[in-house]
Amino acid sequence: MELGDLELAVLRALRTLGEASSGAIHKEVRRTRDVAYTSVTTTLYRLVDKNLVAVRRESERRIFYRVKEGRAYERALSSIVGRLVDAFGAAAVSRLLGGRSKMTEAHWKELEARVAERRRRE
Amino acid sequence: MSEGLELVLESLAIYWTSSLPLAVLTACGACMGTLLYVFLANARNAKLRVSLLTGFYGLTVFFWLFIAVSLALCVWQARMVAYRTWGVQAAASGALLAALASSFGISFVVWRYGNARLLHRFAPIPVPREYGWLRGYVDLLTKFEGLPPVEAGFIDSKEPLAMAIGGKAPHVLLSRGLLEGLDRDEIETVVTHELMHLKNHDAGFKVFSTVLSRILIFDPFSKFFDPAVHREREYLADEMSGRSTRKPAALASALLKISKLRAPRKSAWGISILGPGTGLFSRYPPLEKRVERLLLLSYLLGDGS
Repeated sequence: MELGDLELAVLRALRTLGEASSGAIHKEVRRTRDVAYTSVTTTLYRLVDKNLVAVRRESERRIFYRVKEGRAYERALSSIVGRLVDAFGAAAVSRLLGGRSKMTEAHWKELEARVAERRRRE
Repeated sequence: MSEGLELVLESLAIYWTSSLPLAVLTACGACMGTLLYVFLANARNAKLRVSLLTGFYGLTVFFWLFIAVSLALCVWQARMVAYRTWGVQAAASGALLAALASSFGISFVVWRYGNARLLHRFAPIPVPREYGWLRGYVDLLTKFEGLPPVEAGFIDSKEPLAMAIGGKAPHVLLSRGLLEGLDRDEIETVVTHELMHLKNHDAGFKVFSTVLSRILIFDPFSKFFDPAVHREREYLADEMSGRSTRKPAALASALLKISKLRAPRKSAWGISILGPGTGLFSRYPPLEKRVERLLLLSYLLGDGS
């Protein structure tokens, strides 16, 4: 399953917000790109059609969206990871799974400096 | 619902509400619980813990095989008229015997041939002349630690691999990528780390549990508990290497350097000194925690400053 740029941006916004209304999602997407409200709602409908987003209807005017982590979500994820691995090979896997991923660059540098300092004393 | 399916469901219901199969499973569960209790109560007895875990794995294999063979026998016997009179006893006894024989067989084959197969997969060659000192270092350390002779092997690969393989012919394998990426002090601490795995009987167990956890893909034990044990063994080998060489910071430096090099192949995950992944399912402790612990050890072994 292929996902476009705007679809990915909307999913990212939903992951940040959790459950949110289309207005809030539009506001979140607007932080990184200039996009019309109608484009965001159209994209949301498309994501609902693709079974990647779930809808909760409180009333006619109060509709909330959230990411739906089902089979479609896994398929989309596999497709994206597959594209990444096709393009970058084993380096992509290393990057995704590497132990460094959770360490910030600053923390890493600090750790290296402390290890080097201790090694001088050993 | 078709008649055949109804018969099978009925035979399964009769089987799983009978005392005999339930007693077998309860006894198996009780044995597993006892082994786990003794395991948790003996935190520092490395050899005993490995033996307990090996037994635990054997029981896990038996547990799943018993369920699988029971199901197969129930389905097979469901249409027999005599099922109600002696079918449960026959199925339970058959499942018990088959599961016992198979779990002993599988455990023996994996234990006996797993190490040799792994060795064959990595195809080590003698250590090149430029790293000839390694042979002497491994010999000295094995003598000092009271280990049986250990062969140093060389893997001609750019991946940074370092692993200990147990069994009848214990080996410490190091790859070109690792040897070229580290200085001598760092290599010595890595080799000592691997020898400590041999001393703690981790090496054989790691291979055993790695192979069995690939067979038991649905088993929760091999998904949660086994990685936790592997992480514990890594911490222990790090600590023992640091204490033995009195250069824990060199090992910390080696770990940091290895993590920057390319990730090892999937077949080495869980066996090599460092691998990808973090969290509950990872066989490796978080890198920063390993480094922090080694730094602490370095302060303790040094002048405390």
